[in-house]
Amino acid sequence: MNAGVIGLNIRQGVNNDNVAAYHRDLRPHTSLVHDESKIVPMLQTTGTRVIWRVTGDDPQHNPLAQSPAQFVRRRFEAVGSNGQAIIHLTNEVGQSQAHDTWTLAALAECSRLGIKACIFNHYTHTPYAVWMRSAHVLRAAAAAGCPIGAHVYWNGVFPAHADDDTHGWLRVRDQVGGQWVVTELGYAGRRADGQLDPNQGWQGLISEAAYSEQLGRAAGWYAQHGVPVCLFSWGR
Amino acid sequence: MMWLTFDVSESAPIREALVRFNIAYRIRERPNVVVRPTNAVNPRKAKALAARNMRAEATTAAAVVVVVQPDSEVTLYDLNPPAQANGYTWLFVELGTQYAGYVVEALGDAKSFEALPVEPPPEAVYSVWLTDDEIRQSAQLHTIVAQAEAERMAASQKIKEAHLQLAAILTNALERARPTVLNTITS
Repeated sequence: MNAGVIGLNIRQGVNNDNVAAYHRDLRPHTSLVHDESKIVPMLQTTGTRVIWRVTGDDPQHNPLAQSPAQFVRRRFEAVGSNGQAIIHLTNEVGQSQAHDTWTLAALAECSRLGIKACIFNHYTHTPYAVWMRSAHVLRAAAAAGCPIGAHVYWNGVFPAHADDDTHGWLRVRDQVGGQWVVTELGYAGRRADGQLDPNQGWQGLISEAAYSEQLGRAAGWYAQHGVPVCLFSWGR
Repeated sequence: MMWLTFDVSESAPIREALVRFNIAYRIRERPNVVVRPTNAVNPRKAKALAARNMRAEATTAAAVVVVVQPDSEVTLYDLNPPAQANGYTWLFVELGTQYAGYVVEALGDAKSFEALPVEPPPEAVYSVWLTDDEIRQSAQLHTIVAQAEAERMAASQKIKEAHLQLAAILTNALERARPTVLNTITS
């Protein structure tokens, strides 16, 4: 099993051989694959744990309207019933009681199938108190050995979080346990109102050298906290 | 295509940096097993009555190792002197061979565990050569030896971790020292 702290969040439509070669160099602990099921076993062969994501899990697609069991089974079938692939559940759907209930049902289906899921993948800067409203779901995932996903975007110098909620989820981890993973990590621009801009990544804002320096800080910081991360994003 | 400006796939300097970082910075599994303290006494089998957090230390501020599920069979130990923090009395608990840590004895009136009936040993300890007191003393000496062994194993673990860290530093240095291979220019 690889142990490199920085993995990749891989977009669909990439060259499979290029991704596999990148992984043989990088040897990351965990990477996330979008839609391209053929890449999953290729990366697993290199010793990387793979989170498997299929389009349709974000608020625009209202995944909570789907049967959670069917949602899980469709993704499991789409990845060729690969039991080592971790099924990515919802993406940035936000905390709600309905989401909690849906996630518990999805976890139950995963348990029936003998597979793991990565739950929640909440948007960056989700406050500690919001995470803790779902503490019972987080504990259920932890007890089932299922990872819990969080997104982290930052602007300025990493970790740039001392006075905000960027890493509020680490305090949640101390309360509920479990394996956590940053399923999206990236440098983002700021809009005029001071909020992070989800449409503007590092390109055009900082140089490759500056971003590399920032990622070095992030790698050390997450290794210290024992959290693997998936760098957003890989592939054009 | 908002995500395009986040892409790192075509940056050779970033790729080179990530490879270096992943050699230097590695995920270490969080310890599931807390070494049994030397003041853990009176081991006994028990069943969990409710879901309880198992923590790395006897305080609610410590990290959760695992959630002990209802009906799980565990081995309980009292702590001598008793560990009391945050208004709770804490027990040392082993859950199979995979997890160990501290769990509160009760939450309010709700006890965390119920003792399981003790099965009589197949053969009682008996010797025509030793008195009961001598057998008790022998058992105590065995306990002392077992505790010393546990401390030795903990020290070995620290040495192992230090070696791994040194290996990572040396590997990193080796990577930095590797000469850059330039592509052949053909025209």
